Amino acid sequence: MAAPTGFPFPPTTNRRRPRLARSDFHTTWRSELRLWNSTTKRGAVWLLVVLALAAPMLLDAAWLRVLVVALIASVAAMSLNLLTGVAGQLSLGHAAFVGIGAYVAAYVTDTLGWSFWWSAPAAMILAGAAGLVLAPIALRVRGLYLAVVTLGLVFLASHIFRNWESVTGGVGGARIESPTILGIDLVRGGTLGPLTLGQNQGYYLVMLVIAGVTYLLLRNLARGRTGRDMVAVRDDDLAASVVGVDVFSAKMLAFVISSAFAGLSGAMLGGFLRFINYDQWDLTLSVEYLVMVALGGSGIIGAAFAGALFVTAVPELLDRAAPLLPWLSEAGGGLTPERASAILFGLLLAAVVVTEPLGLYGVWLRLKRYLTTWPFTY
Amino acid sequence: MSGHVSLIISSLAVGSIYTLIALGFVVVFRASSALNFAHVGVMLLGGYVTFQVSRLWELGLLLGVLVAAAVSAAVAVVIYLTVARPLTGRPVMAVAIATIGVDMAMRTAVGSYPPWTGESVEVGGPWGADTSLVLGVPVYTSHLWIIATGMVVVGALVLTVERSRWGLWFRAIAEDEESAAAIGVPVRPVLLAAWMLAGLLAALAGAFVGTFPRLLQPASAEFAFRAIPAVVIGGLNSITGAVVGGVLVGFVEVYTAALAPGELGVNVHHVAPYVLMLAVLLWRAEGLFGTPDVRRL
Repeated sequence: MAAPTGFPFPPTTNRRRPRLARSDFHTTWRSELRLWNSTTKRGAVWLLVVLALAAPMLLDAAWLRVLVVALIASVAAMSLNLLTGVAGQLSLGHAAFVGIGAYVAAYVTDTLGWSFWWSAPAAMILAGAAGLVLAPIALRVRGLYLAVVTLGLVFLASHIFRNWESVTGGVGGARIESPTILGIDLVRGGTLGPLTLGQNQGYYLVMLVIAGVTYLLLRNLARGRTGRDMVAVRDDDLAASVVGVDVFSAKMLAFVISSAFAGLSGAMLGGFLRFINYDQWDLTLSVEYLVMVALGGSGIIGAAFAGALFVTAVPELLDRAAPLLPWLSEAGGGLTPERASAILFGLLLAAVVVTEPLGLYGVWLRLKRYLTTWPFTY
Repeated sequence: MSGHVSLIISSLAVGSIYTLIALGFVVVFRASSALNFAHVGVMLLGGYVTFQVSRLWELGLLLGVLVAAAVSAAVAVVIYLTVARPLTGRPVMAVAIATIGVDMAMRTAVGSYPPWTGESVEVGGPWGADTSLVLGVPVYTSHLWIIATGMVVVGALVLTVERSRWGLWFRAIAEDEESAAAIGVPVRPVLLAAWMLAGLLAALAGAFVGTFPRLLQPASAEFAFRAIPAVVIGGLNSITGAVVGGVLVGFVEVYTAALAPGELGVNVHHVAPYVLMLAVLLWRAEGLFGTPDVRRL
């Protein structure tokens, strides 16, 4: 007769829980610090890659447009996450650096007449240089004063974008050549031999690569020694300096790198929109980047993807649902879908900060803890 | 000379408005150690409620300001109870981020209400475009009233903070909230009162922002944003600083508008306060009258 199993008797065989839900234990720091340090994460990454590559075939041009804008915004949001989430320096001026990137792209393609592909590195270098010039001013002050200085930066940048007409086109705005590969316009699409790219498909694929590379660079920076220095500065800069962290370099590096990637995002946004205006790079845009960071998960680089997707998709969703929502007005004045989503984002930002400082990532952590410890509550 | 008299009166009037807004920031900062960006949205709301009561319902400016003050104070208290109080003890940055979200929502919501924002509006001051003679120079009567009101409010505020029991409690809480609570200061009522006071000041400022020769429009919110440099120039925790900073920013703005060469661009006087702020911060990182940050591990 077989021995009884089950409660209260221990099982005779060591039944393993399925790999997916099992906690991964680490025996070395190296394994814990790995980029994707658990089976689940590796699986999720593969799933994401497959979904991302399948998206251009499954979605129409309008939704692909949302994805492209979300990917572009995610580059800026990830870089802001490095500065604000990882290094703890609240910046309300991110839109200014994104704007610089966009205007560099306009100058390179329209005034100089070069190919678009020069504008991305040029935008990174010039926006990074602007960050380098402003960093000593910004880093002389701490905390709330930094927030106020960067707030001033947004208004100053708007003023310069509007009035430096020879470079920015002033009130008339600026035009940007959209990028081409082998003669195919990446936004409008085109055919080359057997290869046919639909509208937005080419740009989507390019943005996927750029956002992926940005993610890897920033995440690797954040999980290494530099990132640990930044986290130490965020948690207490005085304590960090006492244990030997070079506080000024850590802040400076975060500021310059985040400005450079904001510039990259701006150049790509310009290349996609093909027309930019001086009043686009305002405080609202800066706050939207903050919403992406806070909503995704402050300090979690990749979570900014989720935030960016949400912030980009909501206006589009509201726009499509407008016939069902009588309180939304169609165009012009009143409560347009853009304004409704701005109100939502503002309230959401406050709600996230008050109730769940880690945003969607925090919700996911709670869900995961609930599922892995089920049926227990601890 | 006559040019300067009217410029000085304008500067003082604009400076009074900045001072009123700046005082709201400082009062909240001293009470809750928080930079309350939602103050901007509260000011805009106050201005438009004044417009609603005074112009659309034709009940007069005084009643308009009173109603706006009540509404703004209520909104400020709601922001305190839902955002600032739950964040007590969290990093100061958290309140700043949360309130800038509230501010964006409020500004956009006010800007989405067609009866208010169809065009630029005047809140309906009884002075209209009247002028009075000062040293033989005609200046807007409304400016004189704004200056007078500003001086009365600043005087009353300083007297309250320095001489009254509530002012003593307020200063004790600003010094150290826990010690204040330990010696029996009613912390919660005082904090509530401080946020209400900030709302009142915002409503008054909002009404003046919409008084001729200025017009109220959703972009008037930038008026309140420019009061932030005024606060920072003076020092975030100093009432004297708010007054000096506010008046200084008023002078800088009016004189830049009058004297700046065209090459500096359209509306350069709107960014001049920020430039002044950067200059002051490079010189003194805590502002002119602020207390330097004393930090220990």
